[in-house]
Amino acid sequence: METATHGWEPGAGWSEPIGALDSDTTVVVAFGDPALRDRTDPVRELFDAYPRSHIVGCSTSGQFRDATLSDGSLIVGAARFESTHVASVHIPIGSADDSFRAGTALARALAHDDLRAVFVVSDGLCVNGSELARGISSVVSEDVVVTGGLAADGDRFDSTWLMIDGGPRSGFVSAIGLSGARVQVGHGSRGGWDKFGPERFVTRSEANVLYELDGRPALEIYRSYLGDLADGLPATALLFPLALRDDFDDDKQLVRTVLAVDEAAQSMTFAGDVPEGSFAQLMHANFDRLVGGASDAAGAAARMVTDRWLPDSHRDTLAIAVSCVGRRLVLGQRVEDEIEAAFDRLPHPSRQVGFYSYGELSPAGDGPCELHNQTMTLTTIAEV
Amino acid sequence: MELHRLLARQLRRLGIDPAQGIGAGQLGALLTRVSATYEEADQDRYLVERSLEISTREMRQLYDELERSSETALASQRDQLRSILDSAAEGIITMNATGHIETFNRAAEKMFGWSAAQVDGRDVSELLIDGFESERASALLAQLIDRSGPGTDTATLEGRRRDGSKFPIEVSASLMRRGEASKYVAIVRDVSERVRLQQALEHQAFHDDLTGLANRALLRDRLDHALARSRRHAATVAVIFADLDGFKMINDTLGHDTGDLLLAEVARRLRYSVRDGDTAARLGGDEFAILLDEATPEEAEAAAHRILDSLREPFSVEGREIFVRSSIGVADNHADALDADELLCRADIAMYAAKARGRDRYEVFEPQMQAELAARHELQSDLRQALRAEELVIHYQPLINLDSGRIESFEALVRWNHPTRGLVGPNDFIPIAEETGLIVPIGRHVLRAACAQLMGWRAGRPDDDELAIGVNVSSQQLHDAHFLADVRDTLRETGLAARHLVLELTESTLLSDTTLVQQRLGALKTLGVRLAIDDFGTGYSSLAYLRTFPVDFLKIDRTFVNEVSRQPDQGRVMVRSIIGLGHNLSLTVIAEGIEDTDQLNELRDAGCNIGQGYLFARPVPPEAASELLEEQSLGVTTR
Repeated sequence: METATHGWEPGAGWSEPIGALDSDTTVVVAFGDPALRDRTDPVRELFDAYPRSHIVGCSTSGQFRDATLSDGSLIVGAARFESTHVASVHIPIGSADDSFRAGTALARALAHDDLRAVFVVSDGLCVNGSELARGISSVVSEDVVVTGGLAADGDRFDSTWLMIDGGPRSGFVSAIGLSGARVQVGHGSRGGWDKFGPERFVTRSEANVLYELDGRPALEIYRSYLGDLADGLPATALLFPLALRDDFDDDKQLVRTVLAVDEAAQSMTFAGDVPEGSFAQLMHANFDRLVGGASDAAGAAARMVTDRWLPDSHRDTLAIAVSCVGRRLVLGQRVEDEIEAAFDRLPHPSRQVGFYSYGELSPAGDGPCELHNQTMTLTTIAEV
Repeated sequence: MELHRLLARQLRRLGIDPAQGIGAGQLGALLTRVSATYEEADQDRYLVERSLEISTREMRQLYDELERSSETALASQRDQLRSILDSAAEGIITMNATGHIETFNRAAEKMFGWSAAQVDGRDVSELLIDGFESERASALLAQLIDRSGPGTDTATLEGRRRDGSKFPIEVSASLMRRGEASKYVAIVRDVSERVRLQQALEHQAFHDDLTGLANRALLRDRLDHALARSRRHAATVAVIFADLDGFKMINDTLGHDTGDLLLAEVARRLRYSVRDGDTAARLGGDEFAILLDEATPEEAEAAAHRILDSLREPFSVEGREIFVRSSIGVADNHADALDADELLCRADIAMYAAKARGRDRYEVFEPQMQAELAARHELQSDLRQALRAEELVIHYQPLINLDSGRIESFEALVRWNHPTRGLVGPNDFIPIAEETGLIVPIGRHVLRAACAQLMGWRAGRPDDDELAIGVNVSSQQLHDAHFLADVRDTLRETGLAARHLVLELTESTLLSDTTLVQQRLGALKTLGVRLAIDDFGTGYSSLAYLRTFPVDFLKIDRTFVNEVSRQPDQGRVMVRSIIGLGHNLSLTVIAEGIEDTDQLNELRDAGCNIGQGYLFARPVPPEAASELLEEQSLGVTTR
């Protein structure tokens, strides 16, 4: 497997010539500034340079290459496989209610005898990530690694898009399927947030729309915690993700992040379900713990593509990092600390590309793929 | 110089190499970035502090709310609990780890007579009777303390009321652990009523309702224990069985109420006849048993004698005088190691032997009694058969007029022509017939056959108007409800004139129940039948009664006649006085058992009217009796 990364920046253009690795067995992932919706030439050029390759890409809240974050840019990672079957699929999705069906359709399209991994890129706003993940998992077998992320729109939560047929399009889910005995795909996902304050009972919600906690409007609670920063809603709500537990005796925890607020209904829309009757607790960040989480996620993903007996085999690895926009908001200027921390843990020689998203997809522990929020999630791809 | 990672990155981004110095344009950009970093830090601190403050406030609010709600809830729970506890029928007492009372519900207040306030903090053992009970209470608590987990135990203790009175309580106690603190909860039930009922039931289970004596179960239990002791101490245990003779008749004729009163009176006498440690029991019906613990065979026999005597005294029941006789059996384990069943069985056998040997006596068990009893049982079943198969035959013994020397009458005497034993005498089967009640049908058979026979004889002797027939009537027969009808029917069917029938009744039959007997005798007299007192002088020769019975004949028992030969002087006096007595009462006197001429002469001299005995003739079959009559009519005189 050969890998390459490219960067396009306004004014500077492409960092180097692109398209050298184009083939039927080449995967191209591309993450671009939301503003590229209105300036489509770099995306066009990318598709022109990789006519035979399988390209998936989306808008972000910031994208990075190796250890460097850049805004306004388009970041590309390419991997050409020697003996791995590569397939890709793009499925339109009308509304969030369609998410499960879209997941199953996508998985069926990628079906292959020896399917090993699916990497998904989804519209970030009109999709219920939880249902999408369940739909995919309901079709593929347990040992297929399903990872990916939701497109983002800076901190605006207005409109996200995918790269479909050489141009930006909203309302799509794309995925790449990797099949064959030689491809290795690793994954890791960590948060690093701390719960604080009382645990609250979800007294009123509908799917991923939360109305009340302990009988109080959820938005009111967020406003009181944000104080002056409440003006920055919904983005500033990212500073306080919600930790969810199904019931009182269940230790399994999911983290949910806010996508939108509705002042009239006093409701908040999250990237995944917030079931009525579950327990919610606010979380907040600590710089060092977030950075440490990113490092741990990369370490876990790296281990899965590293030969136990030959750790320094110098195998080319492409790492795709998906981190939550909430983390970027908290980390501020220190955001590159976590990118760097992740990159440092990858095996040598690895190339890392990634983006800040509205949601991460990755297996939770040993279980099936789920939607995560507020995590750094890495997918490592190599071929032996 | 080690720069902060962030500052180093900021410098790198702006293309500044600190070693090279900073350009004027670069400085502005750097300051902008550094300032933004500070702002971020401020914002972060603002958020952290704010969220800390808000969440602290929220936690405080929650805590206050929780406390308020739990206080209200606790208070209402306390009230609810209190009313639940107070509505319980059981006393509920809670104690601390050292057994000091903390709560005391209404039922407990009622039960013990203390108010909750009065017992608050007091030692729970104050509610229990002093002594071992309180030790048991503390042991109970100790037992609970030993247990690691929550557990329960139940004990029956004696409670003490405020007034000092005691009452039985049942206590279920449980230990509750709440962290370090332990509490006892005792649920107390006043079981006075239950205990009283239990005791009554136990008494009922082991005592006879009617007489208050021990019942069979209790006797059996005491006997088992006595025998066990006897084996250890080599002491003798004796059992006496007593059965009232003719009780069934008393019951049938006087009614069950009278019978019951009689039994109660019998029981009272039995109790007085035995020692304190002995057990008198009623086994059922008119059967009694007495267990004599550690009694020598002689003492047992003496007790049997006492009982026999005490029962011979007339009973006075509802203004009536009732005479009762009993048959008593005695057995002990002196010679043989016996279990309870065996000993009871032996006493029973001895009692049957007493019955068989004539009743109104006691017998001490002897091994051959078993064989006798078996033979008796066999005879019993044979006797039923005999009645059906007409094996019972009637022999006739003539009664001779001592003045004229003519046959005055015949006494009909039943014999059993047993298919294997040959002719069986009345002494061997009449007691059995009486025991089994067969005496009634047998008596009826004899009456009928004898009357028919006399009619036969009279038909051939139209000029002899005096010839009569004597028929024995047993006590059971006389008491039988159909007896009068039987006599009437027989006379009508055979055509015999009533005055030719003489019914012979023993003294004891007449005396068994004077009122009924008087009625029956009166009715018989009305029919025209004549009556004789049989075996006079053997029983309670109650001369006072003799006067009141409407009898015609007095039959002197053979024992007096024998005395005439054996002790001429005394015997003569006796016989003469009896004959004199009879004559004074205007009775015709008959002497039984005349065996020799000395006796005959003496009796004639004394004025005895009629004689009967082997000297004249033995009881003979009807044909032979007919011959005797033939001889007489031909002028052949009997001596």
